[in-house]
Amino acid sequence: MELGDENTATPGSDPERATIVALATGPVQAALATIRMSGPRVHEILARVLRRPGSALSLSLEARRATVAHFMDPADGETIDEIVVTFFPGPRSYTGEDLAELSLHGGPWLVAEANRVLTTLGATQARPGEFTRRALLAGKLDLARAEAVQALVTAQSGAAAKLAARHLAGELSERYQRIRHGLVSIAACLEGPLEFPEDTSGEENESAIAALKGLSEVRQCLEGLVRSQAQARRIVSGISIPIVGRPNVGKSSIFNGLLGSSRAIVSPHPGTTRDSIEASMLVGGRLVRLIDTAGLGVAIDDLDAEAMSRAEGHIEDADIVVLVLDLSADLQESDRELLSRLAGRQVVVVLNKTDLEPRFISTDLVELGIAAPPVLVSVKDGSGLPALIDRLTIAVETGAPGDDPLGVVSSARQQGLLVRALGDLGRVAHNIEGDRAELAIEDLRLAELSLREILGEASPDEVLDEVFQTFCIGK
Amino acid sequence: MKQSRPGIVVVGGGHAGVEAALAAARIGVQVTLVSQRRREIARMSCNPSIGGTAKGQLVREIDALGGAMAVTIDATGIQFRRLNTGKGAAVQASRAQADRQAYLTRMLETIEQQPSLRIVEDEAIGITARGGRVRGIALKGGGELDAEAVVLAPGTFLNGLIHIGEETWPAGRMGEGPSTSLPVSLTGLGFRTNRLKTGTPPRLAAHSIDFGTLAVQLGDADPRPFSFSTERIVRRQVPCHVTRTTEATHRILRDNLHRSAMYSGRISGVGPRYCPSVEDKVVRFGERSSHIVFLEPEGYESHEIYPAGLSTSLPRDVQEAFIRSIPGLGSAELTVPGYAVEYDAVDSTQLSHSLETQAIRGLFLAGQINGTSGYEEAAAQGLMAGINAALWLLDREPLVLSRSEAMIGVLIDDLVTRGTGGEPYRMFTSRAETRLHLREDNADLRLTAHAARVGLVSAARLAKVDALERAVEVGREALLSVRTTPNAAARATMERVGLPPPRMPMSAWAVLGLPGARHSQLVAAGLAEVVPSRVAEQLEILAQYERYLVRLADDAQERRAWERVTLPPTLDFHTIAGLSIEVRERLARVRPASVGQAQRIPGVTAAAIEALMTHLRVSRSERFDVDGSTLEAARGA
Repeated sequence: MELGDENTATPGSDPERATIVALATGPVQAALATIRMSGPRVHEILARVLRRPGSALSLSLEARRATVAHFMDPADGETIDEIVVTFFPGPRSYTGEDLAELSLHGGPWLVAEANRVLTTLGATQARPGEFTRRALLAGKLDLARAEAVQALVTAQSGAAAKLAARHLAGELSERYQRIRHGLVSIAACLEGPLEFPEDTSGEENESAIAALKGLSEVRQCLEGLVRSQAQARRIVSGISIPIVGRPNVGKSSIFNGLLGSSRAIVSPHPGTTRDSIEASMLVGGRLVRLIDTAGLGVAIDDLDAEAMSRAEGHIEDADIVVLVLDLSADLQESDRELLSRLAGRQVVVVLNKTDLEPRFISTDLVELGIAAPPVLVSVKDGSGLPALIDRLTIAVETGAPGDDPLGVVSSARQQGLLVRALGDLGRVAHNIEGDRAELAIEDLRLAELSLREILGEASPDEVLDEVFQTFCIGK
Repeated sequence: MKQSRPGIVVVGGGHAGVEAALAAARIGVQVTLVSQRRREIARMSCNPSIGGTAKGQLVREIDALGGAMAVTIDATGIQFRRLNTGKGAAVQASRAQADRQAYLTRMLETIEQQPSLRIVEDEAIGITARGGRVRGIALKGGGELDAEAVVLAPGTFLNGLIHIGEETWPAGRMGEGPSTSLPVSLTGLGFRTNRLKTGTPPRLAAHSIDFGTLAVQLGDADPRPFSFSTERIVRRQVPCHVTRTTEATHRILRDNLHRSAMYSGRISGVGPRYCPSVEDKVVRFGERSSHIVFLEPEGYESHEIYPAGLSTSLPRDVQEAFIRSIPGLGSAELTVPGYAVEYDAVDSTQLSHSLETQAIRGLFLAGQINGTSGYEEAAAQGLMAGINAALWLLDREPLVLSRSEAMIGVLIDDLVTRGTGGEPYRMFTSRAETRLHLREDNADLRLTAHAARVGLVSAARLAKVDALERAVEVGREALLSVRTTPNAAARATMERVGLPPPRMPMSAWAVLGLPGARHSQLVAAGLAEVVPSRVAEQLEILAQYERYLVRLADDAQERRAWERVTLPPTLDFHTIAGLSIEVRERLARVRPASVGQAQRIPGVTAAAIEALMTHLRVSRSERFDVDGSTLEAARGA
């Protein structure tokens, strides 16, 4: 079967059914991880992400035969991983539909990234047991296998139950509940005038205003939640490592040195990097987001001030900070200030320009409270960069306190659902203001479904209950 | 009198009963309609109006399926208004004030002219069933009516009890006796019942009201008919009037709460939250200084006014006092007092989707007996029960409408799967997952094919709907193929016709999907051909809702897959491993027909569904073991 030909008919699948994707192997870090995808669009999605290794050519897949392929993000053409893919055309597959198994290297970010790419292309996250459910629906399982699968499904829910219990006891699920109830209240605000136009005439504007106010609160809460899930963010977007320091200490040169490219504009003039530049790279097998920031010091114009405030924002959100000091210049007040602000954070201190005459020594740094030995670098001759990468590797592997591989995958799922909910909510205000309350309610319902999926809850007639409490009706 | 005429007996001549009788007779079976009084058939016991939000959708669906309610109100309405016209198509609804007397006269004529349908003025006092099958009914006037199928639609008559203040007496509705034998018969057959309550306001003498001081509410200038077959409404329209309760009204109500039947604790039935009594409103929304009251005429000739919003069960003297504290009603005279009525309803989860009871074959229930309220809800069930009773007699498959194709489907699935939750069930559009699709404007497109299949609408009517459907599809294709580019000329054209100038190349279809865009504007811009108004309307709605409708269709597809996994009628839910006792009992109570239905039962979790599926697999395999040939075949494979 030749991938890339999207007109190829795939037998044995219902074209209107959703294509589902999920991690099939355990959520712990391992050498390999298998992602499974099933549904009518499997073939089409594979055609867009798989390439023949070492070429831009599309890939030829033989049914039920493992094949080496490059998995890439069609958005930027970047290869994410070299994988082994096995394609099972329906109906001769586990689910009876077209199904593919992708064996990736087992890093959690790789898995999350591959998952992200596949869902961007239209696959939806499978619910627990959904592959098995489809297999049962397709009549693909016999008794022995059904029993085996049942055991598997139970094991999976055991882990899920553990997670659910942990979240249930925690503040997180309470926040989800509050958000969900907020969505129900907003929908009820809008629903009342729709269902009882004669009883509520004159109250409509009031309701719309209340709905908009509730909406902005709920969105803030959701956005906060999406941001606060730092762990999930680290997996999805990479560990954030800003390179900070005074102007002209060589931050961009170190940034480029680490990337091995000239992505940032390097120049000897102070303040060249007005905006922050980011690049992703692998450190110790994990995704890292390296950020070249503007130099911190005294702003000379508004633009400069803006760039500096951004740099400060990056320090705020950082997982690890690389602080660059110029060994050829005296330590300055702004260096000391920066150091005091970094107290309690994971900091790697780099002394640059070792090729020039040093103006201070390590013991001066100890006085400033820097305990770990600095990394000596000369970007000019490239010395010290491998040592810096080693230090970053150690820092990355140490990780942030509270990291938990079990929580991570769940967070990625929740994060995805939260982001989807935010996407649905993005249209609500527009629809309310355009007098399309029925569409606003539909958006709210979709967002609420995502929250309910996170919580694994059933749906009572909450909106109507709320309408009866809020509106006085009864013509 | 023992007569052995085979066919269907319909008990009750309310809005459910008349639709059931007409549908069954039109399909071609013999029907006997049993009603206490011929002159009371199709009477509106509460408000003199048909339609409203969600209810308008039901009436249009009844019409698409060949029912009588829509054409009858079109012929007898005295004021027509569309609600939510400023909102999207999915929540717009038709409502009409009826001439109460003209409506029932017209409906009686329709029934009398219907071949194969006769009326028997009597009261059903019992259901005869043998061997799990209905055999007929016993009549109060003596004798029995044999029947192959019975549609039971007795309204609020089962153990009906009227309350006005401290007074209480048995009655089905004002002026008519209750049915006390039928409930005994139903309980004897093993049906569970619950107690419900509803209420109605007093009626006022029109001449005693000072209309001159009140705000007027007129009907629509260009009224839209309920029925797809009514060309247009030609009847004279009359106004309604609007007034409001005052602080003085609320004081009288509060001071006399202890004398209300509801608040003195004499009523055990549960009333509807969406239709509270005026005393209820004052208690629950105490911060409000005023509540709206609509004064609705009961007909051209009628001297009575229906004050909507003033349902009450207070004593007559209190009713008079609070009514007279309302502007315009200072010297109002009560012709009939308001009252509350308590009645028995059958737990509707004992029904299957055809509205046949699971326990007794050939016995169908429709209307308030199933715990619903509203003429439209009753008529919709009556129609479906009548259709399915007739199909059963003819040995044909029942007509079951899905949740994603009809409000009626949502109504019946809610009744059968979830029950009414203890209060009278009213239809709301928000009960439908796919309300953006279940609109008034497309009821014929959704349902005419079903009606034609069962024989309730003509082939010609179906052909008309098919032609409309094709025209919409052709119109859509045409709009998709026309593209507009964001050049100066196109921008000027768009501005001229009042459309936002395009910022990127887009199809005419996408332009029509912009908020508020009209097909006529596209025609003016040269992007579309002139099409008939109904085609243009469908195109506008579909373009505006497209992104939502696509997602809803996906969800519906997913749900349908689960509906196809059927559960054997013999399945013993108590033997399924891995289910909690509570879930087993819920399942055994509802007896879902499919895994899809089981999923919608409150309290049935995803894990329970997994256990149910596993059980199904296991029991099927056991059957294979017994069946030697299948086993051999499996070995050979």
